[in-house]
Amino acid sequence: MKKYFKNKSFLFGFIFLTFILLIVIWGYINLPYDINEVNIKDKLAPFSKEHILGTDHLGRDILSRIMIGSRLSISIGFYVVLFGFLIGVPIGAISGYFGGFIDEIIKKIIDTLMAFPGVLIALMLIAVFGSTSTNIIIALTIMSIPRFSRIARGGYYTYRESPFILATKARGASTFRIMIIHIFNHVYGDLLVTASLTFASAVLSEAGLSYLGLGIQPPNPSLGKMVSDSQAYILQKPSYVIVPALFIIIVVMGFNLLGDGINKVVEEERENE
Amino acid sequence: MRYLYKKFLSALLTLLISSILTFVIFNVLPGDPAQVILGLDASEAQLTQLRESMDLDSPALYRYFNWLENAFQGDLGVSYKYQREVSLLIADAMKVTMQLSIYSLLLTLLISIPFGLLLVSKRDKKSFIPLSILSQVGMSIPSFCLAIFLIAIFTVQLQILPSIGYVSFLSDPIENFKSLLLPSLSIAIGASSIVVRYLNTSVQQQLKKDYVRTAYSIGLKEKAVLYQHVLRNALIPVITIVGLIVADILGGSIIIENVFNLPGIGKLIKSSITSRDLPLIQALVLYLSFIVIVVNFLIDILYKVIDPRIRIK
Amino acid sequence: MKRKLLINVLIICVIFFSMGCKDKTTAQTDIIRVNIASEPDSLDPWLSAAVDTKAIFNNVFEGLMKFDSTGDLYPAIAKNIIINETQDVYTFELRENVYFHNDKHLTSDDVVYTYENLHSMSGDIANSASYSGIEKVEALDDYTVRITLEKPSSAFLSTTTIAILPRGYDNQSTFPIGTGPYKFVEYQPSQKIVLERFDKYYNEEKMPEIKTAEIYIISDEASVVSALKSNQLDLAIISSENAKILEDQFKIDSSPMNMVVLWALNNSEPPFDSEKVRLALNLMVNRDDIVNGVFGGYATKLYTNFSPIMKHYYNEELDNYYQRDLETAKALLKEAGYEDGFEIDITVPSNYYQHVNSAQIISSEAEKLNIKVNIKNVEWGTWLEEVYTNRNYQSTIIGLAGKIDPNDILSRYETSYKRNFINYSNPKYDEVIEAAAKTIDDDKRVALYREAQQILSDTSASVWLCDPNNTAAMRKDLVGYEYYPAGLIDFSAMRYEK
Repeated sequence: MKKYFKNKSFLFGFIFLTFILLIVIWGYINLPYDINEVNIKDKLAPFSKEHILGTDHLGRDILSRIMIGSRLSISIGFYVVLFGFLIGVPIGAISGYFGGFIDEIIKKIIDTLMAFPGVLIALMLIAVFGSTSTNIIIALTIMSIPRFSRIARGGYYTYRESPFILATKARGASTFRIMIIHIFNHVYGDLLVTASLTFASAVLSEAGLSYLGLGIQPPNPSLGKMVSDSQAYILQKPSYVIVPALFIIIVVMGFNLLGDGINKVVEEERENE
Repeated sequence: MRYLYKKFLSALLTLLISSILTFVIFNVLPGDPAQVILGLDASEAQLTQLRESMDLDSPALYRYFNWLENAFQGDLGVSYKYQREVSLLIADAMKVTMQLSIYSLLLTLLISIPFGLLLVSKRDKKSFIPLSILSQVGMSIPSFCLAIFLIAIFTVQLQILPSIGYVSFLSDPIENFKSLLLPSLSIAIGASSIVVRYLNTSVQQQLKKDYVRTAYSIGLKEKAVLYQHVLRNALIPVITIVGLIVADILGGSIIIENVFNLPGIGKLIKSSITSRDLPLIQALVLYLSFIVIVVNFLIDILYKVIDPRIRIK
Repeated sequence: MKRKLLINVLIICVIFFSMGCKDKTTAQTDIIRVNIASEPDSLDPWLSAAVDTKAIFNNVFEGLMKFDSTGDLYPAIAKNIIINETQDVYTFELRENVYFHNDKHLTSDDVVYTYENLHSMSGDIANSASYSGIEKVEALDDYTVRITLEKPSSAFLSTTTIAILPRGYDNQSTFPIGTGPYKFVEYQPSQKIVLERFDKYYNEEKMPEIKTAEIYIISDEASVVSALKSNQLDLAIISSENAKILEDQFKIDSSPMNMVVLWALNNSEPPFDSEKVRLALNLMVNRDDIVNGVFGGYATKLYTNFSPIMKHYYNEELDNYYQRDLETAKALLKEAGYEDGFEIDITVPSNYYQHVNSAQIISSEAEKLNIKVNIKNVEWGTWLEEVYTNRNYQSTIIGLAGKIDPNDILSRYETSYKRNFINYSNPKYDEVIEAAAKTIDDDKRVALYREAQQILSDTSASVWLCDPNNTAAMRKDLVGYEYYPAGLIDFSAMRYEK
């Protein structure tokens, strides 16, 4: 673990994400206000002791809504990465390890999906099937699968004929064992990087969809929706726009930096080998 | 020749399947196009008349085959909502999205290459850290947030750039550039941050290669090594990433078109879905599938050109 | 090399910024740029039903009669009307100098064509129920038309505001042609509509001063505000909330819209089948919060399905009919057998952010009565089908656009009305509405419509919230803007002060 923290990108990413996590946990333990409690007389209030980040256009506490909004963003990102990983990696592994006809087909599909603007798929899926959290996760997962598959495929393709794998094979290890343990050990670093970057882009896409009104639906708070709600008040109270925007940036940047850091460490290790 | 023939058949199949899927989905989906177009205050007679003109009362299967037959003859029908031929609507919208994409791509290159070079040349200096933080922020900020801030600064405060209204290139190239500058900048900043990052990593990798050591050992200066040898090799992987960036830009344009009220494909998609404009959606799906097929075909060819090993096989 | 590049970039920037500045200083006076929130529903005036579309295209089209800004009728294409005593024969004398925008001279033949078409005499179906009562349309000479009705109707005259279209022109839905002070130039989908002064307009006094009108289609409120602030619009229809921040820089006009925003309760779905529950909800809702929180204070609270702006027909006794009182509301719920509260859905169309906000305010309020509200956001198309047409919902929030004829507003609650999506059914109410439609004497008619409003409030048919203002912000030198409850942004009356 120490080698990771020596890397500045990783360290900063870690700090950003810890900050967000603390905010989310604080929301779990002691949410300052009910997120749906409307208080019109107090709307668009500035930063104060009662409302640390002020109130929104309906007088709701922004900090509380940020806490829950970040939690939603992060949990959506988490599910997207989890399912994307669980589906994408085996597909890529099989494709890369066995090659041949299956590989050709899978490669085609991955390329197609990569060439297609992801937001567009999500937009159509959600417009057609309705914007529930489940559908958002499904749409974003579909976008994330090819990323994992591509990396896994590349890794398994490179290592399947490497001397140490051939040696393991000669010792009589089963194909399954080789794929799960021996090669995976060498690929997981790259997959971790992908996971981190996918997390960032999932959060970004969710914010974009919510901004367009196709993501998380009110009264549930979402960082993207908060930006679009607050946009009309940018002249009255700029902080209302800046705060949720800042939180999106912190989450996304945290994961981007984390991914960068892991990437550098993995590469250094590879060189040392 | 056989290769092309096979490609063509599979493309046709893809288009057919996607058209069937869209048709089924939009027949199941709640929402009567006539009611959506005319709204709450429509009288029964107005609704009946509109439905008749859209041929909504015929059986679904009949309508699909009717559409298919016309589509084969190149007639994609008339949009319910806009009462215009969908091919014209799409052609107009495509012009806007294309221009937006081209401007975004140009801006991306215009920003990322100088910035990337700067970053590379400062890689051992103190100023590297703030510069790389800048590129990280650029990559993490959502395009719509950027758009909001750009509008607040350049449109509302400084009043030098418009935030609504698209002007076509032929009628006024300067106004056209101005109307698309903020939208494409919103997209380009994010995209160029990604390119900068790739360029940076790529250069770092090249610097570790043997030829760099050789170059230094024969007495070449730092700058010469960097600009004449390293950069050229480092740019190759960056060029491949530009292909992916194009998809990114197209995706980003959907959100940005809605922020800046630009009449492009993204706006057309959103409005056609909400108004249940089946002929328009059908055509858009066909069109986008077609683009994906063409892009894939080009990638295929490109691979073959770049990597001769595939050609031999 | 680097320095050269830098200099080039700088030069480009300077040129570019100076170009920008030029625009800023020249405020043009021969063009008016406004916004509308939604795409026109149809360019064909007989097919169009949306108020937004009418507000623009009533500049292009004219009927025999026209509405003025108070909702009264005055002759337009007709110069004189003779109505017989029993109100079933209407004779219109037409102006002789009216031209269509394609330079065709308007004669009684076009009027006959219009009304025959609207009534389906030419084979098509009637455009609306309003025209089905026409018995015959005759041209007495080139400039006189006589319309005979099957039975007397007090509302007929207000339906003669429909556009007169030229016979033999069938491109109305792509390139509309009318007789109004502005002619249609182009429509760029999801972008803008352009109109231009029609120089052969018959009324010299009302000849427009501003040559061109550009109407931008912008659905996003924030874009409208930034466009106005940056001089990209001369007149903007904005959300009332933003009026305050624009006050210093712009002239604001705010007037009631004659719209009814209501929390519609499906009367045949429990618990809303209970009158007590409906009354309790009326006592619970904090209308002030909605007026201030959603409409920035620019709205009139409503206690029945009728806006006070229609002074002639409005029942003033209903002002403040429901006094907010949570204790009584609780007691009523207990009487109705809902002591422990209940759970309800509010289905809101997600494209109307004001309604979504109102739902959130109501939901927060309802918690005090132990009522759990689920806000279901649906797309507009789904809303129209599921809620409006199939009535498959529990409650919803929607704005019903006002009409000039009270019958059009109040008949929504008639049992047999096709779009009575509230499922309100009250024989007494039906009787009153029917009687009012038949009555010709104005005083009696007014009394009946007031009674109808009273019945609605007495039975708490739904929870009426407010009539939001139509708020316009405009350049300070723009004069002549006026709000028309019938739906018109009258460009011909506007001009810029020097």
